[in-house]
Amino acid sequence: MPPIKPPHNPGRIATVDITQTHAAQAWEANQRHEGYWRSLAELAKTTAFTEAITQEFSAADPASPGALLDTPVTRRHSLKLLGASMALANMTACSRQPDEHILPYVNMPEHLVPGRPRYYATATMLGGYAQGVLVESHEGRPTKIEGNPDHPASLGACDAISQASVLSLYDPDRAQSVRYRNSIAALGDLERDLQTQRRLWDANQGQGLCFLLAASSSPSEAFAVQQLQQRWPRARWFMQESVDRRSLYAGAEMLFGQPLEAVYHFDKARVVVSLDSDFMLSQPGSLRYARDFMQARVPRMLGSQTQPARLYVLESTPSVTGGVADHRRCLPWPDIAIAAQELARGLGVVDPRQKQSAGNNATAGSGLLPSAWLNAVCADLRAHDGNIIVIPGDQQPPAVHALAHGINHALGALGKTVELIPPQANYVDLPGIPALKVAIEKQEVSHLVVLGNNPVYEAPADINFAKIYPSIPWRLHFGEYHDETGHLSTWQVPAAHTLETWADARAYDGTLGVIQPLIQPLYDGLSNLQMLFLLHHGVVQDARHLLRSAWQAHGFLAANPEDFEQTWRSCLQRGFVENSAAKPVSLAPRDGWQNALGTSVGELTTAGASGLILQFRPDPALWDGRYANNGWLQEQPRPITTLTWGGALLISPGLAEERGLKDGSVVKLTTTAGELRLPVFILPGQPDAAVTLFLGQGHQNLGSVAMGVGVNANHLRDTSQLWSMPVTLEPTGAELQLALLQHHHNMENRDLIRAASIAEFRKNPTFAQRTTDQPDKSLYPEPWPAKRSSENAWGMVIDLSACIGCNACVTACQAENNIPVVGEDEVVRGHNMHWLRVDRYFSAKSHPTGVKASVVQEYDPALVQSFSDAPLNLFQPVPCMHCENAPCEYVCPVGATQHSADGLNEMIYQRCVGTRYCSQNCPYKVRRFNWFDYTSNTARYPNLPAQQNPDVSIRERGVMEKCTYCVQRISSVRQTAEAEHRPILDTELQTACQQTCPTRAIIFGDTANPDSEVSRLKALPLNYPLLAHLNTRPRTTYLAAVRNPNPHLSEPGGASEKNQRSKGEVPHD
Amino acid sequence: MPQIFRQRSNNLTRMLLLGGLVGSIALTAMAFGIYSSSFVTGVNATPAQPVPFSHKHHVGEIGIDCRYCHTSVEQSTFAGLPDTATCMTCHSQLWTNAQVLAPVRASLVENRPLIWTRVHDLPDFVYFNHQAHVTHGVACQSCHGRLDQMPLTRQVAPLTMQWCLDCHRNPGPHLRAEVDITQMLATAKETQSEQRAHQLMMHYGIRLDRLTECVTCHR
Repeated sequence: MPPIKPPHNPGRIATVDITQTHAAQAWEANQRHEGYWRSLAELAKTTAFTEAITQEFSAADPASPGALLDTPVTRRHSLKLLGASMALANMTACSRQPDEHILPYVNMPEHLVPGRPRYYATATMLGGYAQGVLVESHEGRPTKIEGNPDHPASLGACDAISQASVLSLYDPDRAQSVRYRNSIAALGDLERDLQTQRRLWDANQGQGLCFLLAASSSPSEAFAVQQLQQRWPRARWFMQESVDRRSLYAGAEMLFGQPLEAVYHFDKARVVVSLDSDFMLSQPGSLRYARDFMQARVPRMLGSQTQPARLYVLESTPSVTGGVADHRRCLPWPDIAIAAQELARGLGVVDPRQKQSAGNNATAGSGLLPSAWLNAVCADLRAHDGNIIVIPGDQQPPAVHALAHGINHALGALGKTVELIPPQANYVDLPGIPALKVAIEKQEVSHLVVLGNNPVYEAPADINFAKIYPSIPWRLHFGEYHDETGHLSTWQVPAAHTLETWADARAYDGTLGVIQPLIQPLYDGLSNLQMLFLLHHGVVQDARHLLRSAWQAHGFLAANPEDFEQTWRSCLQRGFVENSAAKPVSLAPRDGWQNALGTSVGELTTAGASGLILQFRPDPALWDGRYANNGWLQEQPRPITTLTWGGALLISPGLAEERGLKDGSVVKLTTTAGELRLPVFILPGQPDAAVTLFLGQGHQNLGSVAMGVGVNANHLRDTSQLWSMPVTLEPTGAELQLALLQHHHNMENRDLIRAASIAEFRKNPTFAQRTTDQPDKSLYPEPWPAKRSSENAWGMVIDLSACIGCNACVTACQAENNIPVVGEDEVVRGHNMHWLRVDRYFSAKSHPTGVKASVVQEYDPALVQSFSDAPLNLFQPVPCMHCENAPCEYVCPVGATQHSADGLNEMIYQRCVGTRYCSQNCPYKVRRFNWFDYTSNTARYPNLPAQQNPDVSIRERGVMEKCTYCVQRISSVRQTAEAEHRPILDTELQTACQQTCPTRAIIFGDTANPDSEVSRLKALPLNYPLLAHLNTRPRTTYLAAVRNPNPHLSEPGGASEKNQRSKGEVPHD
Repeated sequence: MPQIFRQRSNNLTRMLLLGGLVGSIALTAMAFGIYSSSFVTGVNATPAQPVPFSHKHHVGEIGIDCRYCHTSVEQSTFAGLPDTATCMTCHSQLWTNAQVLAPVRASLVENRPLIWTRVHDLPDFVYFNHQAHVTHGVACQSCHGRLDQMPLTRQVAPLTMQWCLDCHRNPGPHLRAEVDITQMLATAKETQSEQRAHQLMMHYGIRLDRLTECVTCHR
């Protein structure tokens, strides 16, 4: 990110006379841009921001021209460099290509066509739940993961974590061998030791033997565990998962008397209320939920009369779900439960007379939600005849789950849009790590088997697992990495990656999927079933055999054994078992469930009644930290924040003002469990009373990528308050530069984002069309249309109504196009290489009121205050526009960027000499330059040749690159079509970003074909190009965003409501 | 002050200037010469192979079709090299004890692939597609030469970009009817009339505009 200059005056608040003009200017600029902005610095037009963005590349950057000019250069020195460059340039011509070899198969597999990828259906795992994927394999080498169009949890979409798992497969830092006390050992050594231990366990029925399991939904694994439980009945079992779903089951227990999971049907919902649930990004089924919700919301997918679905979000940390909501309110985590109770009371689900518990003195007197807001939401929910969903967040306490489903039941949504199914995850009833701690401290544990998780890293600080773990005499860790736990273990056994082995798992709706290997285990890793079998029988059995025999024994596929083979094969082909989704149960809430609630809500909220709250969240890319050694995920700009790598503590602009903090200020956080120092990031929309820290960083011993990046949030966690706890925050005065992408490739305050409410849209369907889009002068040869000879004209439409900013497309593009990882330092310099960026805009249309004559450093508090209350977001993916009048093409001195007949703006790496004129002349700032060597073996994050797409060149240092519309896919499809002497079908060609998009926001196709979807969309009145007045005629265009705010709530951001509330004007209902 | 340069320096200067001019021209010519020589392009190079496989014998004398071994030539970018099992369809019966075939038998027994050396090696940034060529009238012979006369396989064409473009700019004369794609014919180009060339271009639906676009071969 372009750095914000450290203040010369260390004083917190400086009074500036020009504030009024300053704010007025910003507001004026803002008006032109219709109230969309990308960061507070941009909104306030701080000097540092303006300086930083006037230069295309950051001034702090030693490779930038500015920095070069500053260093003293003598004539002698330049002549030396010139001579050396010429001499060295010639050197490259003096070598012949080295000999290459071809290794044909000994026995070629049937139907294999060398040079053509094959696709296998399997699944990737997140938090124990499966997601169906298709994996592209080049002669036995998996290179790319796509969604499985038939799988109910995917429907062809794929998330960033699954996309990136193919990089982890080839990660050289993975555990490569069995280790005994950290020294390399053989599997035979372990088998010998296990013989001794198993004899001991047999003798005492497993007394002292403990197992620590990770979340799983594999039925065959559950049976293997059952068998072990029978064999050693006195062994004890525990389950640890950083992002567990225990409160979900506890909530169902409170309401229905038994643990249940919910499956939501967003396609049928008209009104959705989220109680801190980021259901579009970070919970099982999110891909399907995002797809279904947008299906019911995006104008192009609806009839002209159908009213789109409406989304209200109450959340503790700005998320993508809140960003695309129609109305969003941000509350500290403990207040969500109170708000849920207010909502339930408003709907008459909980007795309106029932007061909140006595513990809540701070809030007992007044409603948290403004009554106008609450009444409008309640009326909206009531008016839709059960076509509503109230969805609680996985990390919210049981009471919120009970309340949400209580409302769903009362309004008739249960069985309609919300279905309850038995728990699909295993081990729901096993005790957690606190119970294990007690057992260890009582010295009841002589042997501990850790299966698949990393408790030394992820256990909350009060457990202090690193200290108690070594006190166990015999410790075995089974995992993909020789991680923090592995280093402290007696035995470390490498686990196989999901692309290497056989397994099974259930999806969010219970659909049973099979996981099949794409490649032999690279490092002799074992599957979970193999590991359990090894413990049980002392030998390693074939993974496929184990899975098949479990399926046969338990009849997962067919009742009679003769049919097994056939159904097994069809299951392998499809990737899942047909019609295996869990059957919904129909249950009514228990009588008097509300009574349990009051105390429960009270207990949870008292902790945060005063002072600052620290909230924890799973990281959108690294989850609980298990993916932290993946460069693609580390460098993925996180949704909403655009932070990469180290991450930061999210604080509100109000809090920043109060404490005199700015982006990158290092603070000391102290909780009852521990303390940490970390930088802050100011995020509009974050509640003032709460700060948020993502899990997943701060690994000590995972691998070279994760090493030393960020801080470990678990060092502040406490088992009694896993997701939120009181905290004290002290500024330290230190500063860090955040690896932030939000200012990169800024397009100034131009008219880039167009949006309207559905009412405005219906009244004026052409609101996105502007007269200013017509160029008055053109730099390019006219008249239009230019003569074109090609039968295809590729184009793209991106629907801003549908985009949720999840960044799955960014990672898909990275995987497809061999985009290198550059590292944190390079990101700070503005050298990130993603061909596709997702610009995140905040919107707040309200006029700032109450301008104060002071600024915190360079922020204007008036703007900050008025916009900080839950602004909504709009996300704009920006790939190359493939302009028909491409400005880049005119300035390249060597013709390295050319136009093809079918409209592609081609980039020819072999011709490029790195003048960077093209990038300078690109109004959309979509070109990326290889400043340094990012790919070879000597690079900081070398590429992994086995993973790479063989159809895309690897770019060298000094070469420009950019989005190609996946030209390799176009070529491949066209060559097939030509060989078959037929035109290219509209359905057979997808770009990588389009294919992976959960909400179908990106549509690519042939604009020369009037029947193609892309032509149909480009004809819509919502369609508009970026910077049309430049007459570049971009082939990528956008559909303006249409939201569906409640007409009874005039302020989408709710800014005025907040101001009212702070003045105490809102009466309590 | 005495003069630094004497009169004869003038001649020396002239000679130097001329020499420099001639020298630089000669150097450039030499560079071009070297660059287009078979030393760089690899024309006629015959790399050592694990088995001295003779196309002359298998194609010219026995008459096996190219696609019997190069199975994916019509469906994929890569023409495909026969797996060991393909060799053994015949050689499990014929020449079962021949010394030259020992590596093939060893490959089958040990389940280890034979390691061949590429004869036609394009740079890694060139995305050549066999399917696109053989389904559009470009014969094997056009690039690979008279394999039926090669006891050991060697590179015939220079495989430079200039050579590729010669055909991409005007493919007509190089095209053949479908039946002749894998045939080894005595002469190809010379027999093609202009009319026939045009006919074949129409028949295969070849559009010249895309043939010289950069992304056709580089991406």
